[in-house]
Amino acid sequence: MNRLETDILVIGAGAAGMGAAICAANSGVSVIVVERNPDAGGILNQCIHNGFGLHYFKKEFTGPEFAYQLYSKTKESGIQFLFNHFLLQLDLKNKTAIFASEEGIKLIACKALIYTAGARERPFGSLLIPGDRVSGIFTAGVAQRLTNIENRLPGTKALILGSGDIGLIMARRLTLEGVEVVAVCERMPYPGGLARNIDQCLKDFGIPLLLSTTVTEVRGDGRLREVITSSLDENYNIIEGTQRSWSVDTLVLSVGLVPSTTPIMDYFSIDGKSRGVIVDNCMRTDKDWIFSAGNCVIIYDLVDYVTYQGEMAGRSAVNYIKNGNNPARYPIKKGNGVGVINCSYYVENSDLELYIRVNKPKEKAKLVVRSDNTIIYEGKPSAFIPSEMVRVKIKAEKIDDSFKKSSLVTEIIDL
Amino acid sequence: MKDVDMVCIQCPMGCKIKVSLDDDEKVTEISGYTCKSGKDYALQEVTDPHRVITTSIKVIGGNLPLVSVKTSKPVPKRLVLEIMDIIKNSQVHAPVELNQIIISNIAETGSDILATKSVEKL
Repeated sequence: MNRLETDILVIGAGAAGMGAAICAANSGVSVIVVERNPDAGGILNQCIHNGFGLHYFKKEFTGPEFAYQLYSKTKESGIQFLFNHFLLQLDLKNKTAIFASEEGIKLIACKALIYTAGARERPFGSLLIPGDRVSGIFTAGVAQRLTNIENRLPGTKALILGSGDIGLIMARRLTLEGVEVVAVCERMPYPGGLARNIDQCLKDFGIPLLLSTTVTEVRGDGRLREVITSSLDENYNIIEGTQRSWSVDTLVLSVGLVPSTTPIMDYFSIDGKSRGVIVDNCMRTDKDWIFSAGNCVIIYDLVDYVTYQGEMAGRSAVNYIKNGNNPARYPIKKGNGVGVINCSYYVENSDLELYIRVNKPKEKAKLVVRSDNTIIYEGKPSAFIPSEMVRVKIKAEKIDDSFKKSSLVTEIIDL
Repeated sequence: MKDVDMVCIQCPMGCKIKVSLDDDEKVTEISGYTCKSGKDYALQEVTDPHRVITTSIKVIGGNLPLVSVKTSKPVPKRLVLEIMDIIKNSQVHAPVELNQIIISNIAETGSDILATKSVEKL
Protein backbone atom coordinates (compact mmCIF):
# COMPACT_ATOMS: atom_id res chain seq x y z
CA MET A 1 0.00 0.00 0.00
CA ASN A 2 1.07 3.53 -0.85
CA ARG A 3 2.03 5.54 2.23
CA LEU A 4 2.86 9.25 2.45
CA GLU A 5 3.73 11.57 5.31
CA THR A 6 3.20 15.28 5.71
CA ASP A 7 2.95 17.91 8.44
CA ILE A 8 -0.44 19.17 7.28
CA LEU A 9 -2.98 17.33 5.18
CA VAL A 10 -5.73 19.40 3.54
CA ILE A 11 -8.81 17.63 2.20
CA GLY A 12 -10.39 19.66 -0.62
CA ALA A 13 -8.69 22.08 -3.04
CA GLY A 14 -11.39 24.75 -3.18
CA ALA A 15 -10.94 28.28 -1.89
CA ALA A 16 -10.87 27.26 1.80
CA GLY A 17 -8.40 24.42 1.21
CA MET A 18 -6.07 26.52 -0.91
CA GLY A 19 -6.25 29.41 1.58
CA ALA A 20 -5.35 26.99 4.38
CA ALA A 21 -2.57 25.34 2.39
CA ILE A 22 -0.94 28.64 1.35
CA CYS A 23 -1.01 29.97 4.90
CA ALA A 24 0.45 26.77 6.34
CA ALA A 25 3.13 26.28 3.68
CA ASN A 26 4.30 29.88 4.09
CA SER A 27 5.12 29.03 7.74
CA GLY A 28 7.58 26.39 6.55
CA VAL A 29 5.66 23.19 7.21
CA SER A 30 5.04 20.52 4.56
CA VAL A 31 1.55 20.44 3.05
CA ILE A 32 -0.32 17.92 0.91
CA VAL A 33 -3.69 18.90 -0.58
CA VAL A 34 -5.96 16.05 -1.65
CA GLU A 35 -8.77 16.74 -4.13
CA ARG A 36 -11.35 14.41 -5.67
CA ASN A 37 -11.60 16.47 -8.90
CA PRO A 38 -8.88 16.53 -11.57
CA ASP A 39 -8.14 20.21 -10.85
CA ALA A 40 -8.08 22.81 -8.07
CA GLY A 41 -10.72 25.49 -7.47
CA GLY A 42 -13.77 23.48 -6.48
CA ILE A 43 -17.06 25.13 -7.36
CA LEU A 44 -15.27 28.32 -8.54
CA ASN A 45 -14.49 26.61 -11.86
CA GLN A 46 -18.12 26.53 -12.93
CA CYS A 47 -18.99 29.99 -11.52
CA ILE A 48 -17.89 31.83 -14.67
CA HIS A 49 -19.66 35.07 -13.66
CA ASN A 50 -17.78 37.95 -12.07
CA GLY A 51 -17.96 39.53 -8.63
CA PHE A 52 -15.37 37.44 -6.79
CA GLY A 53 -12.33 38.73 -4.93
CA LEU A 54 -13.26 42.34 -4.17
CA HIS A 55 -12.31 41.83 -0.50
CA TYR A 56 -9.50 39.30 -0.75
CA PHE A 57 -7.68 40.51 -3.87
CA LYS A 58 -9.16 44.06 -3.93
CA LYS A 59 -9.96 43.29 -7.55
CA GLU A 60 -12.91 41.79 -9.34
CA PHE A 61 -12.47 38.32 -10.82
CA THR A 62 -14.64 35.61 -12.34
CA GLY A 63 -14.72 32.26 -10.49
CA PRO A 64 -12.09 30.55 -12.67
CA GLU A 65 -9.82 33.62 -12.39
CA PHE A 66 -10.13 33.64 -8.59
CA ALA A 67 -9.27 29.93 -8.53
CA TYR A 68 -6.27 30.55 -10.80
CA GLN A 69 -4.99 33.37 -8.57
CA LEU A 70 -5.09 31.13 -5.49
CA TYR A 71 -3.64 28.15 -7.33
CA SER A 72 -0.71 30.30 -8.56
CA LYS A 73 0.04 31.21 -4.94
CA THR A 74 0.13 27.52 -3.98
CA LYS A 75 2.70 26.92 -6.75
CA GLU A 76 5.00 29.52 -5.18
CA SER A 77 4.68 27.78 -1.80
CA GLY A 78 5.74 24.26 -2.80
CA ILE A 79 2.46 22.61 -1.89
CA GLN A 80 1.92 19.08 -3.18
CA PHE A 81 -1.46 18.37 -4.80
CA LEU A 82 -2.97 14.92 -5.25
CA PHE A 83 -5.90 15.10 -7.67
CA ASN A 84 -8.51 12.40 -8.34
CA HIS A 85 -8.23 11.20 -4.74
CA PHE A 86 -11.32 10.45 -2.69
CA LEU A 87 -11.43 10.25 1.12
CA LEU A 88 -12.51 6.82 2.36
CA GLN A 89 -11.90 7.02 6.09
CA LEU A 90 -9.84 8.49 8.88
CA ASP A 91 -7.71 6.60 11.38
CA LEU A 92 -7.92 8.95 14.36
CA LYS A 93 -5.50 6.96 16.53
CA ASN A 94 -2.68 7.07 13.98
CA LYS A 95 -3.61 10.47 12.54
CA THR A 96 -3.89 8.94 9.10
CA ALA A 97 -6.36 9.47 6.27
CA ILE A 98 -7.11 6.75 3.73
CA PHE A 99 -7.91 7.63 0.12
CA ALA A 100 -9.00 5.85 -3.04
CA SER A 101 -7.03 6.86 -6.12
CA GLU A 102 -6.23 5.59 -9.61
CA GLU A 103 -2.99 4.17 -8.19
CA GLY A 104 -4.95 2.27 -5.56
CA ILE A 105 -5.52 2.82 -1.86
CA LYS A 106 -3.29 5.50 -0.34
CA LEU A 107 -2.50 6.23 3.31
CA ILE A 108 -1.43 9.72 4.31
CA ALA A 109 -0.12 10.26 7.83
CA CYS A 110 -0.12 13.83 9.13
CA LYS A 111 0.39 15.93 12.26
CA ALA A 112 -2.69 18.06 11.60
CA LEU A 113 -5.65 17.67 9.26
CA ILE A 114 -7.71 20.44 7.66
CA TYR A 115 -11.11 19.42 6.30
CA THR A 116 -12.36 21.81 3.59
CA ALA A 117 -14.84 19.79 1.57
CA GLY A 118 -17.36 22.53 0.76
CA ALA A 119 -21.08 21.91 0.39
CA ARG A 120 -23.63 19.91 -1.56
CA GLU A 121 -26.90 21.12 -3.03
CA ARG A 122 -30.15 20.26 -1.34
CA PRO A 123 -31.70 17.71 -3.70
CA PHE A 124 -35.18 17.57 -5.31
CA GLY A 125 -36.04 14.49 -3.25
CA SER A 126 -35.82 16.46 0.00
CA LEU A 127 -38.57 18.89 -1.11
CA LEU A 128 -41.36 16.27 -1.17
CA ILE A 129 -43.04 17.84 -4.21
CA PRO A 130 -45.90 15.63 -5.46
CA GLY A 131 -46.31 14.57 -9.06
CA ASP A 132 -44.46 12.59 -11.70
CA ARG A 133 -40.82 11.62 -11.36
CA VAL A 134 -39.49 12.96 -14.66
CA SER A 135 -36.26 14.16 -16.24
CA GLY A 136 -35.75 17.88 -16.67
CA ILE A 137 -35.41 18.69 -12.97
CA PHE A 138 -31.95 19.97 -12.06
CA THR A 139 -30.30 21.55 -9.08
CA ALA A 140 -28.87 24.94 -10.04
CA GLY A 141 -25.28 23.75 -9.67
CA VAL A 142 -25.86 20.81 -11.98
CA ALA A 143 -27.55 23.09 -14.55
CA GLN A 144 -24.57 25.43 -14.17
CA ARG A 145 -22.06 22.65 -14.69
CA LEU A 146 -23.88 21.36 -17.78
CA THR A 147 -24.11 24.86 -19.29
CA ASN A 148 -20.70 26.27 -18.35
CA ILE A 149 -18.37 23.26 -18.40
CA GLU A 150 -19.96 20.51 -20.47
CA ASN A 151 -21.57 22.59 -23.26
CA ARG A 152 -25.00 21.00 -22.79
CA LEU A 153 -28.15 23.06 -22.22
CA PRO A 154 -30.53 21.60 -19.65
CA GLY A 155 -33.69 22.46 -21.68
CA THR A 156 -35.56 25.10 -23.68
CA LYS A 157 -38.05 26.67 -21.26
CA ALA A 158 -37.38 26.81 -17.53
CA LEU A 159 -38.87 27.80 -14.22
CA ILE A 160 -36.50 28.41 -11.31
CA LEU A 161 -37.44 27.57 -7.74
CA GLY A 162 -35.46 29.48 -5.12
CA SER A 163 -34.06 33.00 -5.34
CA GLY A 164 -30.67 32.30 -3.78
CA ASP A 165 -27.73 33.75 -5.67
CA ILE A 166 -27.12 30.57 -7.67
CA GLY A 167 -30.76 30.58 -8.84
CA LEU A 168 -30.54 34.23 -9.90
CA ILE A 169 -27.20 33.75 -11.66
CA MET A 170 -28.61 30.72 -13.51
CA ALA A 171 -31.71 32.72 -14.56
CA ARG A 172 -29.40 35.15 -16.38
CA ARG A 173 -27.05 32.47 -17.65
CA LEU A 174 -29.82 30.33 -19.17
CA THR A 175 -31.46 33.43 -20.70
CA LEU A 176 -28.18 34.44 -22.36
CA GLU A 177 -27.86 30.93 -23.77
CA GLY A 178 -31.33 31.12 -25.32
CA VAL A 179 -33.41 29.27 -22.71
CA GLU A 180 -36.69 31.02 -21.92
CA VAL A 181 -36.85 31.56 -18.15
CA VAL A 182 -40.52 32.10 -17.29
CA ALA A 183 -40.15 32.99 -13.59
CA VAL A 184 -38.14 32.66 -10.41
CA CYS A 185 -40.29 31.51 -7.47
CA GLU A 186 -39.36 32.03 -3.82
CA ARG A 187 -41.30 30.55 -0.91
CA MET A 188 -40.13 33.24 1.51
CA PRO A 189 -41.73 36.71 1.40
CA TYR A 190 -38.30 38.22 0.58
CA PRO A 191 -35.61 37.27 -1.96
CA GLY A 192 -32.85 34.88 -0.95
CA GLY A 193 -30.05 36.39 -3.02
CA LEU A 194 -28.08 39.62 -3.03
CA ALA A 195 -29.92 42.77 -4.15
CA ARG A 196 -27.39 43.30 -6.95
CA ASN A 197 -28.22 39.91 -8.42
CA ILE A 198 -31.97 40.64 -8.43
CA ASP A 199 -31.12 43.75 -10.43
CA GLN A 200 -28.62 42.47 -12.95
CA CYS A 201 -29.92 38.91 -13.37
CA LEU A 202 -33.70 39.33 -13.28
CA LYS A 203 -34.62 42.99 -13.91
CA ASP A 204 -32.17 43.31 -16.81
CA PHE A 205 -34.03 40.53 -18.64
CA GLY A 206 -37.56 41.16 -17.39
CA ILE A 207 -37.74 37.83 -15.54
CA PRO A 208 -40.52 37.94 -12.90
CA LEU A 209 -39.68 37.17 -9.26
CA LEU A 210 -42.69 35.63 -7.50
CA LEU A 211 -42.34 35.85 -3.71
CA SER A 212 -44.30 33.67 -1.24
CA THR A 213 -44.71 31.21 -4.11
CA THR A 214 -43.55 27.62 -4.41
CA VAL A 215 -43.79 24.62 -6.70
CA THR A 216 -46.59 22.30 -5.57
CA GLU A 217 -46.67 19.76 -8.38
CA VAL A 218 -44.56 18.53 -11.30
CA ARG A 219 -46.15 16.79 -14.29
CA GLY A 220 -44.79 15.01 -17.35
CA ASP A 221 -44.37 11.74 -19.14
CA GLY A 222 -40.68 10.86 -19.14
CA ARG A 223 -39.75 14.55 -19.50
CA LEU A 224 -41.11 17.44 -17.44
CA ARG A 225 -44.04 19.12 -19.21
CA GLU A 226 -45.85 21.18 -16.58
CA VAL A 227 -45.03 22.80 -13.24
CA ILE A 228 -47.79 23.96 -10.87
CA THR A 229 -46.99 26.80 -8.47
CA SER A 230 -49.08 28.08 -5.56
CA SER A 231 -48.97 31.12 -3.32
CA LEU A 232 -48.19 30.67 0.37
CA ASP A 233 -49.60 32.46 3.40
CA GLU A 234 -47.44 33.86 6.22
CA ASN A 235 -47.22 30.38 7.80
CA TYR A 236 -46.06 28.86 4.49
CA ASN A 237 -49.35 27.06 3.98
CA ILE A 238 -50.67 26.77 0.43
CA ILE A 239 -53.46 29.26 -0.35
CA GLU A 240 -56.14 27.27 -2.21
CA GLY A 241 -57.19 28.68 -5.54
CA THR A 242 -53.81 30.29 -6.30
CA GLN A 243 -52.53 27.38 -8.42
CA ARG A 244 -50.87 28.44 -11.62
CA SER A 245 -49.75 26.17 -14.44
CA TRP A 246 -46.50 26.72 -16.33
CA SER A 247 -45.68 24.67 -19.40
CA VAL A 248 -41.92 24.21 -19.11
CA ASP A 249 -39.53 21.35 -19.83
CA THR A 250 -37.03 22.36 -17.15
CA LEU A 251 -37.20 23.06 -13.43
CA VAL A 252 -34.06 24.47 -11.81
CA LEU A 253 -33.80 24.21 -8.03
CA SER A 254 -31.82 26.74 -6.04
CA VAL A 255 -33.07 25.64 -2.66
CA GLY A 256 -30.01 25.78 -0.50
CA LEU A 257 -26.66 24.22 0.22
CA VAL A 258 -25.84 21.68 2.90
CA PRO A 259 -22.30 21.38 4.33
CA SER A 260 -20.61 18.29 2.93
CA THR A 261 -19.83 16.36 6.09
CA THR A 262 -21.06 12.84 5.42
CA PRO A 263 -17.54 11.31 5.06
CA ILE A 264 -16.39 12.65 8.45
CA MET A 265 -19.50 12.70 10.63
CA ASP A 266 -18.30 9.62 12.53
CA TYR A 267 -15.01 11.27 13.46
CA PHE A 268 -15.77 14.78 14.71
CA SER A 269 -18.85 16.72 15.75
CA ILE A 270 -21.23 18.29 13.30
CA ASP A 271 -24.27 20.44 14.00
CA GLY A 272 -27.37 18.24 13.96
CA LYS A 273 -29.47 20.91 12.31
CA SER A 274 -27.17 22.67 9.80
CA ARG A 275 -24.89 19.62 9.33
CA GLY A 276 -21.86 21.94 9.43
CA VAL A 277 -18.64 21.01 11.24
CA ILE A 278 -18.61 22.49 14.75
CA VAL A 279 -15.51 24.66 15.17
CA ASP A 280 -14.13 27.38 17.42
CA ASN A 281 -12.96 30.77 16.15
CA CYS A 282 -9.55 29.24 15.34
CA MET A 283 -11.40 26.72 13.14
CA ARG A 284 -10.53 23.79 15.37
CA THR A 285 -13.00 20.88 15.60
CA ASP A 286 -13.54 18.83 18.74
CA LYS A 287 -10.39 16.85 17.85
CA ASP A 288 -7.33 18.91 18.77
CA TRP A 289 -5.43 18.07 15.54
CA ILE A 290 -8.34 18.51 13.12
CA PHE A 291 -9.41 21.87 11.70
CA SER A 292 -12.13 22.79 9.23
CA ALA A 293 -13.19 25.84 7.21
CA GLY A 294 -15.38 27.06 4.39
CA ASN A 295 -18.81 25.89 3.31
CA CYS A 296 -18.49 22.58 5.19
CA VAL A 297 -18.71 24.71 8.38
CA ILE A 298 -21.43 27.17 7.39
CA ILE A 299 -22.63 28.42 4.01
CA TYR A 300 -20.87 31.72 3.26
CA ASP A 301 -21.97 34.49 0.87
CA LEU A 302 -18.56 35.29 -0.51
CA VAL A 303 -15.60 33.17 -1.55
CA ASP A 304 -13.43 35.90 -0.03
CA TYR A 305 -14.80 35.00 3.42
CA VAL A 306 -14.25 31.30 2.73
CA THR A 307 -10.62 32.01 1.83
CA TYR A 308 -10.05 34.08 5.01
CA GLN A 309 -11.47 31.27 7.13
CA GLY A 310 -9.29 28.75 5.31
CA GLU A 311 -6.26 30.88 6.15
CA MET A 312 -7.33 30.91 9.78
CA ALA A 313 -7.50 27.10 9.77
CA GLY A 314 -4.04 26.96 8.18
CA ARG A 315 -2.54 29.31 10.81
CA SER A 316 -4.16 27.40 13.67
CA ALA A 317 -2.95 24.05 12.36
CA VAL A 318 0.64 25.35 12.15
CA ASN A 319 0.33 26.79 15.65
CA TYR A 320 -0.84 23.39 16.90
CA ILE A 321 2.07 21.55 15.24
CA LYS A 322 4.67 24.02 16.49
CA ASN A 323 3.33 24.60 20.01
CA GLY A 324 1.05 21.63 20.55
CA ASN A 325 -1.28 23.76 22.60
CA ASN A 326 -4.95 23.18 23.12
CA PRO A 327 -6.21 26.33 24.85
CA ALA A 328 -9.51 26.47 26.72
CA ARG A 329 -12.57 27.43 24.71
CA TYR A 330 -15.97 28.78 25.70
CA PRO A 331 -19.36 28.57 23.98
CA ILE A 332 -20.69 31.31 21.72
CA LYS A 333 -24.48 31.34 21.80
CA LYS A 334 -26.98 32.49 19.21
CA GLY A 335 -29.26 35.09 20.77
CA ASN A 336 -32.36 36.75 19.36
CA GLY A 337 -32.36 37.36 15.63
CA VAL A 338 -29.22 35.36 14.82
CA GLY A 339 -29.82 32.62 12.24
CA VAL A 340 -26.37 31.33 11.39
CA ILE A 341 -23.00 31.98 12.99
CA ASN A 342 -19.59 30.73 11.84
CA CYS A 343 -18.20 29.45 15.10
CA SER A 344 -19.60 27.78 18.16
CA TYR A 345 -16.69 28.40 20.57
CA TYR A 346 -14.30 31.20 21.48
CA VAL A 347 -10.67 30.40 22.30
CA GLU A 348 -9.42 32.62 25.10
CA ASN A 349 -6.89 35.35 24.28
CA SER A 350 -7.59 35.22 20.55
CA ASP A 351 -9.06 37.77 18.17
CA LEU A 352 -12.64 36.94 17.33
CA GLU A 353 -13.92 37.05 13.75
CA LEU A 354 -17.65 36.40 13.41
CA TYR A 355 -19.77 35.83 10.33
CA ILE A 356 -23.45 36.17 11.14
CA ARG A 357 -26.64 35.75 9.15
CA VAL A 358 -29.86 37.15 10.64
CA ASN A 359 -32.90 34.84 10.75
CA LYS A 360 -35.27 37.39 9.19
CA PRO A 361 -35.04 40.86 7.64
CA LYS A 362 -34.67 43.82 10.02
CA GLU A 363 -35.40 47.40 8.98
CA LYS A 364 -33.21 48.94 11.65
CA ALA A 365 -31.28 47.01 14.23
CA LYS A 366 -27.82 46.57 15.68
CA LEU A 367 -25.59 43.61 16.31
CA VAL A 368 -24.39 43.14 19.88
CA VAL A 369 -21.89 40.67 21.33
CA ARG A 370 -22.00 40.38 25.11
CA SER A 371 -21.05 38.19 28.01
CA ASP A 372 -23.58 38.32 30.80
CA ASN A 373 -24.34 42.01 30.87
CA THR A 374 -20.98 43.28 29.64
CA ILE A 375 -21.22 44.53 26.09
CA ILE A 376 -18.11 43.50 24.15
CA TYR A 377 -19.11 44.73 20.74
CA GLU A 378 -21.87 46.97 19.47
CA GLY A 379 -22.36 47.51 15.75
CA LYS A 380 -23.70 50.59 14.02
CA PRO A 381 -27.48 50.68 13.50
CA SER A 382 -28.36 49.37 10.05
CA ALA A 383 -30.72 47.21 8.05
CA PHE A 384 -30.12 43.45 8.00
CA ILE A 385 -31.30 40.79 5.56
CA PRO A 386 -30.67 37.04 5.76
CA SER A 387 -29.01 36.92 2.33
CA GLU A 388 -26.23 39.29 3.36
CA MET A 389 -23.80 38.09 6.01
CA VAL A 390 -22.34 40.47 8.53
CA ARG A 391 -18.63 40.19 9.28
CA VAL A 392 -17.35 41.43 12.64
CA LYS A 393 -13.78 41.50 13.94
CA ILE A 394 -13.15 41.93 17.68
CA LYS A 395 -9.64 42.24 19.13
CA ALA A 396 -8.71 39.87 21.97
CA GLU A 397 -8.05 42.75 24.42
CA LYS A 398 -11.63 44.00 23.97
CA ILE A 399 -13.02 40.71 25.23
CA ASP A 400 -13.68 40.86 28.95
CA ASP A 401 -12.97 37.68 30.94
CA SER A 402 -16.54 37.48 32.22
CA PHE A 403 -17.45 35.11 29.35
CA LYS A 404 -15.66 32.35 31.26
CA LYS A 405 -18.39 32.32 33.87
CA SER A 406 -21.28 32.39 31.40
CA SER A 407 -20.76 32.47 27.65
CA LEU A 408 -20.55 34.87 24.75
CA VAL A 409 -23.92 35.76 23.27
CA THR A 410 -24.52 37.34 19.86
CA GLU A 411 -27.83 39.03 19.20
CA ILE A 412 -29.60 41.39 16.88
CA ILE A 413 -31.44 44.12 18.79
CA ASP A 414 -34.33 45.89 17.06
CA LEU A 415 -34.24 49.67 17.20
CA MET B 1 -38.39 66.01 -12.09
CA LYS B 2 -37.92 62.29 -11.65
CA ASP B 3 -36.13 60.02 -9.17
CA VAL B 4 -34.56 56.75 -10.28
CA ASP B 5 -33.89 54.15 -7.57
CA MET B 6 -31.33 51.45 -8.19
CA VAL B 7 -29.19 48.88 -6.44
CA CYS B 8 -25.51 49.25 -7.23
CA ILE B 9 -24.08 46.11 -8.86
CA GLN B 10 -20.41 47.09 -8.58
CA CYS B 11 -19.79 44.92 -5.51
CA PRO B 12 -21.79 42.65 -3.17
CA MET B 13 -22.52 45.54 -0.76
CA GLY B 14 -25.59 46.39 -2.86
CA CYS B 15 -25.86 50.10 -1.98
CA LYS B 16 -29.26 51.65 -2.69
CA ILE B 17 -28.66 54.69 -4.88
CA LYS B 18 -31.13 57.42 -5.85
CA VAL B 19 -30.54 59.57 -8.93
CA SER B 20 -32.63 62.70 -9.36
CA LEU B 21 -33.25 63.96 -12.89
CA ASP B 22 -34.77 67.26 -13.99
CA ASP B 23 -37.37 67.62 -16.78
CA ASP B 24 -34.61 67.55 -19.43
CA GLU B 25 -33.35 64.20 -18.03
CA LYS B 26 -30.27 66.00 -16.64
CA VAL B 27 -28.86 64.56 -13.40
CA THR B 28 -29.38 66.96 -10.53
CA GLU B 29 -28.39 64.78 -7.57
CA ILE B 30 -26.98 61.34 -6.80
CA SER B 31 -27.30 59.98 -3.25
CA GLY B 32 -26.85 56.71 -1.38
CA TYR B 33 -23.56 55.64 -2.95
CA THR B 34 -20.61 54.83 -0.69
CA CYS B 35 -17.71 54.90 -3.17
CA LYS B 36 -16.67 56.58 -6.43
CA SER B 37 -17.34 53.44 -8.41
CA GLY B 38 -20.93 53.50 -7.16
CA LYS B 39 -21.40 57.13 -8.21
CA ASP B 40 -19.99 56.41 -11.68
CA TYR B 41 -22.23 53.36 -11.98
CA ALA B 42 -25.34 55.37 -11.09
CA LEU B 43 -24.51 58.07 -13.63
CA GLN B 44 -23.86 55.49 -16.36
CA GLU B 45 -27.02 53.60 -15.41
CA VAL B 46 -29.34 56.56 -16.08
CA THR B 47 -27.60 57.56 -19.31
CA ASP B 48 -26.57 54.30 -21.05
CA PRO B 49 -26.41 51.23 -18.78
CA HIS B 50 -23.34 49.02 -19.25
CA ARG B 51 -22.68 45.42 -18.19
CA VAL B 52 -19.75 43.04 -18.14
CA ILE B 53 -20.77 39.88 -20.03
CA THR B 54 -19.47 36.57 -18.75
CA THR B 55 -20.15 33.53 -20.91
CA SER B 56 -18.26 30.77 -22.70
CA ILE B 57 -16.97 29.98 -26.20
CA LYS B 58 -16.68 26.64 -27.92
CA VAL B 59 -13.18 25.16 -27.98
CA ILE B 60 -11.97 22.86 -30.74
CA GLY B 61 -9.48 20.14 -29.78
CA GLY B 62 -9.27 21.04 -26.08
CA ASN B 63 -9.41 18.99 -22.89
CA LEU B 64 -12.68 20.85 -22.20
CA PRO B 65 -15.45 21.67 -24.72
CA LEU B 66 -15.76 25.30 -23.56
CA VAL B 67 -13.59 28.14 -22.34
CA SER B 68 -15.11 30.74 -20.02
CA VAL B 69 -14.78 34.33 -21.25
CA LYS B 70 -15.64 37.91 -20.26
CA THR B 71 -15.74 41.32 -21.88
CA SER B 72 -12.59 43.26 -21.01
CA LYS B 73 -14.78 46.17 -19.84
CA PRO B 74 -18.51 46.82 -19.48
CA VAL B 75 -20.42 46.99 -22.76
CA PRO B 76 -23.74 48.80 -23.43
CA LYS B 77 -26.63 46.74 -22.09
CA ARG B 78 -28.56 47.28 -25.33
CA LEU B 79 -25.86 45.30 -27.19
CA VAL B 80 -25.76 42.28 -24.83
CA LEU B 81 -27.90 39.98 -26.99
CA GLU B 82 -26.14 41.04 -30.19
CA ILE B 83 -22.77 40.26 -28.56
CA MET B 84 -24.06 36.89 -27.32
CA ASP B 85 -25.01 36.05 -30.92
CA ILE B 86 -21.50 36.80 -32.15
CA ILE B 87 -20.02 34.67 -29.33
CA LYS B 88 -22.41 31.78 -30.03
CA ASN B 89 -21.22 31.65 -33.62
CA SER B 90 -17.53 31.76 -32.67
CA GLN B 91 -15.04 29.09 -31.74
CA VAL B 92 -11.40 28.93 -30.73
CA HIS B 93 -8.72 26.27 -31.19
CA ALA B 94 -6.93 24.83 -28.16
CA PRO B 95 -4.66 25.60 -26.44
CA VAL B 96 -6.25 28.70 -24.93
CA GLU B 97 -4.33 30.82 -22.44
CA LEU B 98 -5.83 32.78 -19.54
CA ASN B 99 -6.41 36.40 -20.66
CA GLN B 100 -6.02 35.47 -24.34
CA ILE B 101 -8.01 37.82 -26.60
CA ILE B 102 -10.49 35.61 -28.42
CA ILE B 103 -12.50 38.33 -30.21
CA SER B 104 -11.16 41.87 -30.29
CA ASN B 105 -13.34 44.98 -30.31
CA ILE B 106 -16.55 42.99 -30.20
CA ALA B 107 -19.51 44.76 -31.89
CA GLU B 108 -17.34 47.89 -32.21
CA THR B 109 -17.60 48.46 -28.43
CA GLY B 110 -13.87 48.79 -27.83
CA SER B 111 -14.16 45.79 -25.52
CA ASP B 112 -12.37 42.49 -26.16
CA ILE B 113 -13.55 39.00 -25.34
CA LEU B 114 -10.94 37.53 -22.97
CA ALA B 115 -10.48 33.94 -21.82
CA THR B 116 -10.92 33.68 -18.03
CA LYS B 117 -9.17 30.31 -17.84
CA SER B 118 -6.76 28.17 -19.85
CA VAL B 119 -7.77 25.11 -21.83
CA GLU B 120 -5.09 22.59 -22.78
CA LYS B 121 -4.77 20.98 -26.17
CA LEU B 122 -5.77 17.32 -26.18
